[in-house]
Amino acid sequence: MEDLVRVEGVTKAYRLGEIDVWALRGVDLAIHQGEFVALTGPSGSGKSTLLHLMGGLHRPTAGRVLLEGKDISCLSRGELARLRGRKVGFVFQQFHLLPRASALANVELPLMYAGIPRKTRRERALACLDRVGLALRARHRPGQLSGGECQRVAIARALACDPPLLLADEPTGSLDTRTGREILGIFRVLVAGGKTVVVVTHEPYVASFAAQQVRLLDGRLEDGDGTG
Amino acid sequence: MGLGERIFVGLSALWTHKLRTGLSVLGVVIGVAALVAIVSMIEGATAAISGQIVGLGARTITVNLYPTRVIQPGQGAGFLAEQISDELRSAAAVAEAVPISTASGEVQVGFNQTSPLRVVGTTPEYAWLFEFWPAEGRFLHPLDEGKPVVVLGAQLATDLLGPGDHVGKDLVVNLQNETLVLHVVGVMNPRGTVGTYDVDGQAYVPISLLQEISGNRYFSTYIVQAIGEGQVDEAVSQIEAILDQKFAALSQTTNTAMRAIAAMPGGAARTTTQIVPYTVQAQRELIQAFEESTRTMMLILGGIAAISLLVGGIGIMNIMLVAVVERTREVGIRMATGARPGDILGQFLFEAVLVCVVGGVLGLVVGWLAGAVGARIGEWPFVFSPLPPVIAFAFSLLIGVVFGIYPAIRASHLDPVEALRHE
Ligand SMILES: Nc1ncnc2c1ncn2[C@@H]1O[C@H](COP(=O)(O)OP(=O)(O)O)[C@@H](O)[C@H]1O
Ligand SMILES: [Mg+2]
Repeated sequence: MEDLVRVEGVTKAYRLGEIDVWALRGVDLAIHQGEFVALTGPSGSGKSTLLHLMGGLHRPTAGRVLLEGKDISCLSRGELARLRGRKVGFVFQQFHLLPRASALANVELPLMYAGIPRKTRRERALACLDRVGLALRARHRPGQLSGGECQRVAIARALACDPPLLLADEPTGSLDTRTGREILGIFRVLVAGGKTVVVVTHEPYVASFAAQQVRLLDGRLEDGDGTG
Repeated sequence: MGLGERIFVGLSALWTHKLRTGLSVLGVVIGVAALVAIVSMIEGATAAISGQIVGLGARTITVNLYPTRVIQPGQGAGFLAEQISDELRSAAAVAEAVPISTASGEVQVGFNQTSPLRVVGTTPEYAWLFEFWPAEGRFLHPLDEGKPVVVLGAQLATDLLGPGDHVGKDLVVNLQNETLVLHVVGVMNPRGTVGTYDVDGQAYVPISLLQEISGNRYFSTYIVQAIGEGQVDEAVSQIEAILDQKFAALSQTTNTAMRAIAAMPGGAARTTTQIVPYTVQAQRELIQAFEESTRTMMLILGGIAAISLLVGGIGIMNIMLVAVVERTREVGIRMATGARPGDILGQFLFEAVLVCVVGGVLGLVVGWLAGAVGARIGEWPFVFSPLPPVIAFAFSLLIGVVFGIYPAIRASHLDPVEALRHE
């Protein structure tokens, strides 16, 4: 199988005043097309940082990140934004929906920035909401939806531009186990449909479904499985 | 993202914070309204006043004599009105010269009722000079000299005597503690205001009659007409020469006073300082002086309005900066879903411009209303000029861009991950 994501010798340091905090200290990782990868590790081990690097929210301090074979580590901010809009869908623990916009408007957001015309946009956003079982809640605002429903809207938003890669940072972290399992079910269906999904998680039941488990410890991969 | 889209996103963001938006719009409204109202009012007042000044004609020269500044009362034998106007008329560049003397009196309108009356003493040439003709009867005549006859302005005639024939009627008038019966010999055509004179509301009597009543022979004002617009300067210098000569002749008897004048900076009597015994002012100069003072006023008031607009703009910047901080997470969400820095910059800038344009349009309306009210109070015409809307629109757009750009740049420079983490 072709590698969708390749991470090569990536380090990432955050500057905190005078000192550098090393979130990643040299990570090599390959993720195949259509794979379901679980990223685990203790808090502060660099999971979110790695996820953000793979999705172009950050640039690495050193090393390279390749998406569909293309080096994205030295793209400009604008190019990275375009890439995030079309190739990557993010799902966050805190959902990160626009609170004053309807579910539909939230799902339309990436389509809008991708320059899709209004009418097509509406249709595609509705179709995405339908895929996560929320077609009837299109007009509701996040405040009028439950946590699980909010996370489904977020997944629909991540799917809107039909990106090959979904990156989810503790997507079930704010949900009860039952709802969490429902969200996991959606991801499994998506993987079965050909999407590549990387999930940062603490939950063993989530990790147990993953084809590949990657464990981070203090900014490094714990075992050599990653380069596979 | 099309323009319609941007407007929609901008409007809904502004609508979310109605009070805040309202206040920042208000800042622009006040600035623009002040600017528009001031421009409109000054234009209106200018039109009204310059209309009056121009009404006298560009050939007109006003001469004011202040003989009492240099001679004792009773010494004015050389200043008989007709004599001086004859002398002025004899100047080569002068076509006509008319003395004007005014007095306030009362006219009997009932048994026990009086009404104020403004009486102008002048000579028959007055009608020629102002091209001001009688509608009924005749104007003053040289043979009227010293006689108790009166010619009424059109408005005055109907006010006092009602409609119909007026010639032949008599008016009982109190002037300077004397009661006299004036015989109406004519009524003038309506004319409106000429210069600062309300010619329709005045009564005209022979100047010799006023002289007799008041015992005052120092008639102060002469309206002089140059033979052509090109000869105004010439006429002015000829008039000044004549008057200089007259006052020089006087100086034999009033040495002290003339010495004081000669010692003044500029030497001669023509300087415009207080104790000069006469002033000669061409209408054209008046117009110029007026236009100059209007321009100064426009600059000062316009500057004040511009400052208030500036303050409104700073208010917008302040509010936009707060909005950027408050909406950091929103910026993060938009960036994570594919918004480029340019999209974010455009969004915030567009909001600021939208506030300014809305404020500009409202301010324009308010300013026009204020201008119309001002025109009504000040009794000048409401000038609907194309300048204020253009200024208002351009200015508010400029304010929006200038004060919106910095907050917008700040928003577009946010780091997406940091922004998402922001609470
Ligand atoms: N913006 C930042 N500034 C400074 N340090 C950061 C920042 N983001 C993350 N870190 C640090 O980097 C390390 C890894 O963080 P993160 O990737 O969020 O870990 P995880 O998601 O595994 O909990 C932590 O020590 C964290 O404190
Ligand atoms: Mg994390």
